[in-house]
Amino acid sequence: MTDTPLLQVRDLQKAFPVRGGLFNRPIATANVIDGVSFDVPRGQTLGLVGESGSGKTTIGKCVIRLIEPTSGQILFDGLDLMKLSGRELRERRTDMQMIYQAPGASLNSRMTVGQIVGEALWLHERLNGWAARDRVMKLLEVVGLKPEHYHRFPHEFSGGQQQRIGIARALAVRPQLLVLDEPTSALDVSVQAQVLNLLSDLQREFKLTFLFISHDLGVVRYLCDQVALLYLGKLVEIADVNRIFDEPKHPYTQALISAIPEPDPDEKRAIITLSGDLSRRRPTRGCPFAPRCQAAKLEICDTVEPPLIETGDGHRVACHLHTGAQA
Amino acid sequence: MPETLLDIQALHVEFKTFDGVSKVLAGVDLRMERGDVLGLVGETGCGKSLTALAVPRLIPTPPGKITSGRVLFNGEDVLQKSPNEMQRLRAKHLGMIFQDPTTNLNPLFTIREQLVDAVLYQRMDAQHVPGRWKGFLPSARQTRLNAARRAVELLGLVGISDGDKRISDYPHQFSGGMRQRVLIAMALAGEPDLLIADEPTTALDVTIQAQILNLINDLVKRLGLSVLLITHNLGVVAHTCTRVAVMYAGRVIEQAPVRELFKNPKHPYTRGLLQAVPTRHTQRGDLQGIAGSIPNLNTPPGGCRFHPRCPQVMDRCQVAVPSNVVVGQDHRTECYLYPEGA
Repeated sequence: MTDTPLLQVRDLQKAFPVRGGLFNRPIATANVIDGVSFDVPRGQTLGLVGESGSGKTTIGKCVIRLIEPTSGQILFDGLDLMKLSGRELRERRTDMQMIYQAPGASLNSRMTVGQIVGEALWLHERLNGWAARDRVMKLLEVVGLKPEHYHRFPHEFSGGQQQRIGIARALAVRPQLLVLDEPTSALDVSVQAQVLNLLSDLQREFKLTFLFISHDLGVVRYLCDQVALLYLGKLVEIADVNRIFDEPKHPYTQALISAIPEPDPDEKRAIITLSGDLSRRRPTRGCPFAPRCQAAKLEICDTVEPPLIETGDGHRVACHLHTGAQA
Repeated sequence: MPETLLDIQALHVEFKTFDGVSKVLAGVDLRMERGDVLGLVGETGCGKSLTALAVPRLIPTPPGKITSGRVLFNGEDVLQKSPNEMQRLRAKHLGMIFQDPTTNLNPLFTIREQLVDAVLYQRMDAQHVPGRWKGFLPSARQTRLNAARRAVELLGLVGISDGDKRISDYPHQFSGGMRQRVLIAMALAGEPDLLIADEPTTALDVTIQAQILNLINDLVKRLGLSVLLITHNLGVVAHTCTRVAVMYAGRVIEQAPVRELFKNPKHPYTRGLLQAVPTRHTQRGDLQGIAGSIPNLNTPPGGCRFHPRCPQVMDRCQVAVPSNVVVGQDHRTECYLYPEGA
């Protein structure tokens, strides 16, 4: 039972229609997520990393079916979420919760903290009155807020505290999986550190599984057990956090890691500067990263798309430099 | 003896709010030599953007008001200048770039129109020529053509090599990083002495951030530019800056050359800030935040404004503001932990 990963995603695809022309009809489709597969073992953290527009938030939302995936399989605790009806899905939603990037925008400004956190208890467990109040108080304590905050409104809190309210609301229904969509990118570093520590304490205490979406590789290195890198909706590399940072295999991963500005003026690394930027006009053939790739280019890069292959120890990479070495 | 480019002395700024008067800057002292790349770091609301806005005198008044202090730019007090002089100063000596490159470009005009405007604005005083010389001046059409040529040159300078083609595009046809390049080009139109960059890479991805920081470094070397770089990212500071000033709640609490500050931070706040950033050496569970949050500036804590959050707080910290002490080579801090004159 504990051996099967809590979350297994198989060949997830999401295509959005591109509208245009006369009457704004769908004229094409944009494959925002293109055949992504990964596992998140129970109690662990998988970091989803990529530039803006790489599809990481879309994956996060597809996994808990806030956005309907076009195709693919999502196994949560062995249960295929794609086959659930609306009512069944709502029952399972208590097991998976999401925490959003903008802490202020994801809280209703007309509700008090007690109402915001208590609403989840009412919706999912029909709990109200004193019973709900006791649970909310306990949750506030867990996330480091004080009992007197119960009657306050979101605007009375700082960004870090607002994010704590969001976390308390997500924890209210005792989830197993939390999808964290850039939970700290709107916060200052000193507050970010507090929230990261809170998250890792909560994970240990409640045996939570995290899907951590971020573009900040420093934070990912700190919090995650496994890292998956996305480029234009494709998984380009996935491995253990130490393997990713110590021996990145994909040229994109290498460039991203070299571009993290380390707070150490003596550290003079060669920064691999990628030319251009992530463009939605991906090449129709070949490796999607080929136009920006700084590595020695093979002829095959422009014609055949590299498959995601295993190079040992669960390290998977989609690059012809490594498929060639295998063959 | 390096030349002092910017010297801010005891700058106080207040903002009128519905809850009373907010003392946003409470005695900022900041010095920049020519050729410095000064990083101004601090948390949200500590007054770093406002300090930078005081130099071109762009603080919105009202509600804001500079109550006292001096801002010496090239040895002249900016606060005493007339509006006309200010305009010339902004056009010729200062360039500014901001966090969000999208909102700073007009979506209805091509890059050419916006960039040519910037170039023409910089030559504004050439228009005020006595009447009898008018005939010798280039026509308006010629001026605009020259300006357009200069605009393409500027685009080349910021790394847009096909500038002659891209210049007739609209802002939405550029990506975030390219828009920021266009804005840098615009800021450089007047060949400024000082480039004020207010969180120039915060809205960009790391790979694009690296490109823009390289560009800024490159411009510093080639044009002898001085840069005031406002950021909250200590990694960016370590990579780009020569000196750092750390701000907290409206005061500069520590200033030092970049290596000195990162190797030998003195103020408890600076130390806390450095420990809060996860690096490659940070083990899980090792990261330390700074307890509490920034104070309300309508009712700031007495004495040192950091004392409610400070791990090494003493009795005297709550009474009076510590004075500026020298703690090393070109390294100053405001903290009672360090005896004066040591």
